[in-house]
Amino acid sequence: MYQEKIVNLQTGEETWRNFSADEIAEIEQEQIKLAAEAAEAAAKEAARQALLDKLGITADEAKLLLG
Amino acid sequence: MSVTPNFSWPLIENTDLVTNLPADFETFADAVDLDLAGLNGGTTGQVLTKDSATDLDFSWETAGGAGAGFTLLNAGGTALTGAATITVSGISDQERLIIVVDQAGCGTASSQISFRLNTDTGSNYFFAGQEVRGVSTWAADNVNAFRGTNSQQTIGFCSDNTSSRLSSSIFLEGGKSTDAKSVWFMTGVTSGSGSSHRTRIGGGLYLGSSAITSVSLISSAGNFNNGTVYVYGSGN
Repeated sequence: MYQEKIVNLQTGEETWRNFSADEIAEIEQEQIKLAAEAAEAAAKEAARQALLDKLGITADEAKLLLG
Repeated sequence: MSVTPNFSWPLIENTDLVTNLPADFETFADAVDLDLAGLNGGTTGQVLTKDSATDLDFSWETAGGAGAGFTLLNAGGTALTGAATITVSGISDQERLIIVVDQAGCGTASSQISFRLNTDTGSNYFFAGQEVRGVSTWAADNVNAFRGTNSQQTIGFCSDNTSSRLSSSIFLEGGKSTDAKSVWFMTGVTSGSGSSHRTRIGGGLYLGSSAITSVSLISSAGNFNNGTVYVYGSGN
């Protein structure tokens, strides 16, 4: 459950508010986006490593070639 | 009895008896003396300052002096844990604020951290600045600009490791005003052995028309899991 913690500095009172359905949907959408970005980055890294392996060179050697 | 138009000091009437003149003049002088008594005192370099909206309510004060410093409004700070939005409310009569975010942690990797004022979700945050990404492979756009108007202002992103920590100082001026407020911030983020964290330095305007009463920190993808926010204020 996602909540907002509200601390009133006049009274010292601490209250908690449950997120609305829209706010929860926003957070879940953000998590899906981040997971997709992470998967894409991992796939790119795997493809890069596969290519290096195929060529039989290291990442530093590839940099030299492209430099 | 006639009086002067601005200070209502008693006037000597042209029908007064000459023998009453000394007493009449004493009455007039006493009224002037009483009203202007506050001009006495003070010292070199001080300026006359209004203490309230009441006429003749003033005192001598050191120019640009007392009251300009900051005091901590939320004693001990407010823990950044257990919630995705953490709001410090009850801010009142503060012209300037410094919001110090100390080692905020994102429970969800890569979450972005933003602030919001007065829980205002309108497109009232008009900012620009520079962003640097912490990535293992260099690319020119790892250093990039951000700009635009949003419903909150993002101050940085945690890395893809939940041990990443974000610290920031957010400065606000015009907190008592009903006009736009100037805001600027500087953020640093530790990698926490991850990558893709983003630090930001920026500034701009909060376009809301109410005096500042609350500050919220928002973690976009889940609860905060570490840190403290300190809210310092200055009444002038």
